[in-house]
Amino acid sequence: MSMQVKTHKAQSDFSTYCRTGEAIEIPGTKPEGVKQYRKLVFGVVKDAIENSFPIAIEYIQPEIWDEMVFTFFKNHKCQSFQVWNIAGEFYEYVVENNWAEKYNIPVLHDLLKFEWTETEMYNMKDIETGDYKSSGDYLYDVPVFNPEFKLLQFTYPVHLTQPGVAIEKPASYFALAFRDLDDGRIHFFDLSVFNVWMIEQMAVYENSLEQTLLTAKSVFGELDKKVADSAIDFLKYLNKKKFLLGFKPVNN
Amino acid sequence: MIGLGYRRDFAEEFLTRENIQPDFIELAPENWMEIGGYWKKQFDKVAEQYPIFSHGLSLSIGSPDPLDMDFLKKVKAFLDHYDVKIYSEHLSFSKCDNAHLYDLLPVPFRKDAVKHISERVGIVQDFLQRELALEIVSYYTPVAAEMDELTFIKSIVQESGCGLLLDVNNVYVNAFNHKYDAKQFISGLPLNKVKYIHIAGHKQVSPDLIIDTHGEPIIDPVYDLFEFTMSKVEPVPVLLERDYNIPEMQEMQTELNRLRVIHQNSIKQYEHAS
Repeated sequence: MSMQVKTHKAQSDFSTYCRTGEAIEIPGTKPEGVKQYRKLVFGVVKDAIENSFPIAIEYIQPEIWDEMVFTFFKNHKCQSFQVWNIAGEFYEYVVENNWAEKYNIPVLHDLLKFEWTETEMYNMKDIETGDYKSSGDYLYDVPVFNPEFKLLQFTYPVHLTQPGVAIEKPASYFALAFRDLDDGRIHFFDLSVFNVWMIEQMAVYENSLEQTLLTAKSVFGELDKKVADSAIDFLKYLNKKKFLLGFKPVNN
Repeated sequence: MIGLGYRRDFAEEFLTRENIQPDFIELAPENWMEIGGYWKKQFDKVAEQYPIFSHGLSLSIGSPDPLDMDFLKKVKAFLDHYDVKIYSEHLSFSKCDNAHLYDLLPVPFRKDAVKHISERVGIVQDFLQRELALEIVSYYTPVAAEMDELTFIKSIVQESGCGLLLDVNNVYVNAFNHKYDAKQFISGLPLNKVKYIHIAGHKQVSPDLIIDTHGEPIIDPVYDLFEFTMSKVEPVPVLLERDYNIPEMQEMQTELNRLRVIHQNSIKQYEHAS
């Protein structure tokens, strides 16, 4: 293309200033006007990040939070053309740079993961729901789940309680997140590792609960009969919560 | 036609039409591409009822970076899917050194920028199989300029053959901030290339600086400038932009009504004259 070095440099310096806030002499500019752009650009980025992390903002000291957002935007070149995705890039940047350790906020990565998952799933593209019948046998029919879901693992139970409480309870936590097909809201449910495994088996491999429990024996050893009963109750619960939509129609 | 910028929270009002009756809606494709969920479903319902105009944010036509062809593919799919009537973008840049900036930065008014942008307009128009209308943006500082704004805009329109989106409020804001005469500026534009008009409110933040906020009602001098503009261009669609400090729908309908009266009078005058 036809851009000359001088023009390119002026644009590069101008945009660098907007990202870093560090003064650069740019020919033919009005200082007050240039400052407005930094204010506008940084305001958009800060708003986009803060809209996605309301719990983190409440929990983290304001000056630390501001430093994080400032440092992120100064050093990271945002790749998404969609403003709401800035929050996802911020989350990835925080994890890559291990800011949980740097700022001594152990719950930080889990907290941002939890809040970003909500934003990401709220906006994500629709996933086609396969054919299903609304009633069926919980043990023998193949359940059909809402396809708009994610299984998550946390070290701190940020999906269950406030970060100030969660920080005292490190362990292995699992959660199901799914988008309500009617109102688009994201629901989170705490799960045992066994229930996570069952959902994976049934959703990914399209197994019935009976088949899943048979497989479970080879993975976990002999299962108590109570496990089958509680598994049926679990599926009924998921149905009530609109995650289990129905059952796969049987082909004749 | 008098339209209104679409926002998620307007969906229900647009569907019922009880308090607001725009002739068309305008949106940024970036906000509706590659997403789903409740608000996308609402948007799809609204899109069935209204003609859609699209006003992009991220093309970054004035950027020294290469055009993002993957982005353009997505834009094309969006425009085709929703049968978009007009695709407009900003005569600015919003990406540089491989970093998005999420605002409309001023392009240096320079000869090489004219050539660079004109070549890119050609690529975009060929790829999208549509005419591109470029908006004259509000700007708060020139950058390394070697010509005036009017010469820059005229040169791009002439070299690229693109259409113009004339934002009357932007011209008012720029005229105030850079101390020129708004009517003289508009009169100097290639007005036969104006495809679309925007109008909005702004905020004066200091004695010599106005910011184009889209967060206030349109002020009378901007209505006057709109009337002046409409007397000079062919009848084209007009859009009211409101992105912040959203008032009651009836208040925005009052603004739409006032714009509609001016627009209709200009159509009568245009038909009478021709």
